[in-house]
Amino acid sequence: MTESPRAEVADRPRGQWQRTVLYGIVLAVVVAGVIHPLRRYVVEPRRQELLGRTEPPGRQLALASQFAFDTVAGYSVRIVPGAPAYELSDLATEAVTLILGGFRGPYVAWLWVKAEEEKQKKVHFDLVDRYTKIAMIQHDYPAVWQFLAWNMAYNLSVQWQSPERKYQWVRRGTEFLIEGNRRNTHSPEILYDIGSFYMNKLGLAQESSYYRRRVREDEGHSTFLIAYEWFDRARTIRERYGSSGYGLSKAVASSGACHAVSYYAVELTQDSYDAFQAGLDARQTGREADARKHFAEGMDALREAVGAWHWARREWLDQAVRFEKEDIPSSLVERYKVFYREADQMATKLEADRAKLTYENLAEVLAQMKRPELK
Amino acid sequence: MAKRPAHPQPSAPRERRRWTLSRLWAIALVTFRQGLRTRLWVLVPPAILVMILADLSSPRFDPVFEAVPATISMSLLVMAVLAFIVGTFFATYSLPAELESKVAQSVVTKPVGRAEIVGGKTLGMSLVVLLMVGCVGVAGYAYTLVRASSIQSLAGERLAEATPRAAYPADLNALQAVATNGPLETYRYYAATSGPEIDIDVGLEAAASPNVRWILGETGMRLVWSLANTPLREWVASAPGRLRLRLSVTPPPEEPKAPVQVLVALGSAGVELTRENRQPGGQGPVYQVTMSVPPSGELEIAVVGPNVRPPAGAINVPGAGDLVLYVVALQSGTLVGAGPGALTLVGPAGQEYAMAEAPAVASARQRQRLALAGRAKTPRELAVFRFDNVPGDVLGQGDTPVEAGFSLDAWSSAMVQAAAQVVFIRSDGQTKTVRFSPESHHSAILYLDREFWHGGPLVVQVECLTDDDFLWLVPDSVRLRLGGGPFAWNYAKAVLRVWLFGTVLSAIGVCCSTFLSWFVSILLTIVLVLVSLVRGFVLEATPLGGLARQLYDAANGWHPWAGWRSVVEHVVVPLPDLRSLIPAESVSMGQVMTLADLGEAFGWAALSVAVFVLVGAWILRHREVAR
Repeated sequence: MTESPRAEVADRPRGQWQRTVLYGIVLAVVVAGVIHPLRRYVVEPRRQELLGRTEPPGRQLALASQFAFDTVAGYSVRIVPGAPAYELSDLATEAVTLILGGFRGPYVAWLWVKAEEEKQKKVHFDLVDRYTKIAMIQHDYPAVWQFLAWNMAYNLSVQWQSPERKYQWVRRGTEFLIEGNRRNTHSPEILYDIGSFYMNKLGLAQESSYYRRRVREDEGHSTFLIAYEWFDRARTIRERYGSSGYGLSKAVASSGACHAVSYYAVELTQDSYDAFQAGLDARQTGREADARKHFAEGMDALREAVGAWHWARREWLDQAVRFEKEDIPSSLVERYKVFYREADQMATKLEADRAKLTYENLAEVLAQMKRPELK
Repeated sequence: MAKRPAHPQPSAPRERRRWTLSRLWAIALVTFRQGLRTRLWVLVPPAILVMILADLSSPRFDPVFEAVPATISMSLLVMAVLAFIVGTFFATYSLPAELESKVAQSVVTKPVGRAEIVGGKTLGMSLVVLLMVGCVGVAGYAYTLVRASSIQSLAGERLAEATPRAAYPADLNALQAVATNGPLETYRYYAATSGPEIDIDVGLEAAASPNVRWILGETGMRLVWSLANTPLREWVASAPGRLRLRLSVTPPPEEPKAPVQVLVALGSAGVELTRENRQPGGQGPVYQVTMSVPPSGELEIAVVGPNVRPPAGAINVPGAGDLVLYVVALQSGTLVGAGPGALTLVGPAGQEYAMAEAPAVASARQRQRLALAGRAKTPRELAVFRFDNVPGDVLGQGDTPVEAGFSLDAWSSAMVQAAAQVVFIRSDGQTKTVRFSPESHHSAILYLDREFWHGGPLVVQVECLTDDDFLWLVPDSVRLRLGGGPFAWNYAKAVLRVWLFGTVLSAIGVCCSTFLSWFVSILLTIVLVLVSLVRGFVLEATPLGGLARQLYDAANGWHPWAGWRSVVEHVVVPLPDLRSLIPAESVSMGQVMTLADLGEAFGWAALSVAVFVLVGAWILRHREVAR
């Protein structure tokens, strides 16, 4: 039926093994050496160009000079300004994606089905891994990152009871989306969702008092301030490159940052109020040093709060003035003006409170102040 | 002229029945050696490498509980892919190559049957798959052991961190188990004999009325009277009648003087009771009314016919269906009860119909799940699970782990940590209470001391201790989690199932290669495998599903048998259920695969292989080259 195996073994040239291994290594090195630069310097710029995300020559010149300055200053910058930051660590996933070839489609379909099945069955041990693999294979689709991150931050986090576990899932979803932003830097939708996670989930959810404390511990800033930074980037990218997919309107992209600043101002006002209240409590229990310390903290927070309300006022004013000229419902513009007036009134009132507030009259002034609510 | 007898025509020599195991085995061995000569085994080291790299590079949310199941799952996946590659690309190679090189012609002239050729090829490829899957399995097992040791030390660190923060000692049980015994423990479940049954801890005062059936406010419990065989509908058709209720009520202990409110509703049997949301003075019939119960507990509710506009405080009788009366308590902590004779129907002319029997008590239910309402203070609901006479020898040597798992609807404040307690009650009435923090959809492991209970009857009561929260229970919500034996044996069983998957795949590949060239048979094999993997979807989403249901109904009507479904589905989609051969996620999570499951998988695989071998042999017999 077949030849004798011994004959075949005898015919096999010596050293064939070594050659096979050597060829394998050479092939791997060549493939690795080709895939990464090809993706980074040819495929991705071309994709950006096809998506209409190329920079005009003047801006390219400006970015090139900025690139030179930044490089001299020692910053790590991207060669193609605004392009996704492909790193060497992406090589493995790029290589696997390439090797899968035409099987990428069936494989990712299977991953989607399994991930959804497991989510329904509450079997979680492979879920994050499956989400990561799906995102690696379909990394060019912002909606994929958004969908999966939303699942983690909103749908999976509520399957747990302890705030610690919930927070870990929300963080995981947020980090996932930040990774999505690295791979899709021109997607305002992803940037907006990151801001939204920080503001709506971490800042305003039922468990937000715990979440906000954890965010401050982990990142050193208020969650609303971080949200503002992402919203700000979202509106900038939305202005420059537009929106794709189901779309993110200019008004919505732009208003996120304004809301985040308003919430930031409310949070600072709360901080000042709480510090004053703690000072009063300390004074009533005879702890004078603590009372003065809390009063000083309250004054600092109040100063920052006044600044934040001014900032929110400017943001809302810009928003209202700008969108008065654009084609959006007038009710929306009216709402922007209401927010502007609220911020203006708060800034004025808090400035007045701050001017008359002394350590001695703290109790009287605080009785007239109202602790604002985050809502 | 007499007819000459016809000469007997020389008939073609009939093929003798040539089916001997020795020839089958000889062909299988040749195929196996061919597989080795083709160096299929070179796929094994890359597969092991891929398995390890993929596992190491995969992110995990909680490595202590996820890493080992994920590692096992990954190793089984790699084995399945390997079996797929061998079954698809190499099982389809042998026969076309021999037909092409005319080797087959010399083989078929030998005293060898076609079924022996196809069967031998399949068996040979199955041996190749077994060798390769076995090698990866051994490597996977070794790698899992390495991972397990690192996870065990990680669990020890986590335990040290978590201990000061744990609300109850039982919250640490799962972590403690991994830190002490490692993450490779296997388990099997011992289900409760009955349960859950919803009951109430009614307190001493209410318990003094033994014939009274009680419900608790804001839990979804209700008192139910069936009025199907009463004259109420006939009586109220002409003029209004009345329902006279005598209820026992106990206000909540925290508000002893609060008025007790109940909802009284008339409905039709089989229709779920839902709260009406109608405006006062609105149009349409009224089926429910909210009333305050006076201290005497006596209530009278006017009832009118189905098409009459009811006056204030009256309700309509539903026009159709068997009549049912519901009484629901509306305030948390309120106990409302009724005993035999508590309901009297009064007709328009003053005629009376007394209901002698006590009402039934129904609990809140959603599909198959029962709701257990939480309350910080008694009275509160409890769910009862019963284990009848558990043999002591199945419980092992140490304490008995009990798994308590529910889905949790937490309506309490987000920052309130839900709490639950389980009370174990022995046959002599001795109790042991364990409190823990329930996680939604994630089971808690509780330990029952060997000294307290080691076999025999056991009653388990579950209570939710946080206001506004609900535990949703199913029969499997409380079960004993018994030791499942060595991990290696369970893993080996999983590997065997992957091998069965590869064997059936090889049979499909060999069968396709009996009449197609190599490349085309690869394509056909892939298509058949994909359809086999999604045959559940095919049966659900295509008209074939409807056909299967019709056939099932017909067969079941002819002779009732639970197995008809599977038979009919395989008739409608005549492909093996390959998905069922791949081990389930529960195996990766440590649940023991029973020998019955393994035997069933063997049976289905053997049947599938036999069918493909016979079909392949039949095709091969009719191929020109092989005649």
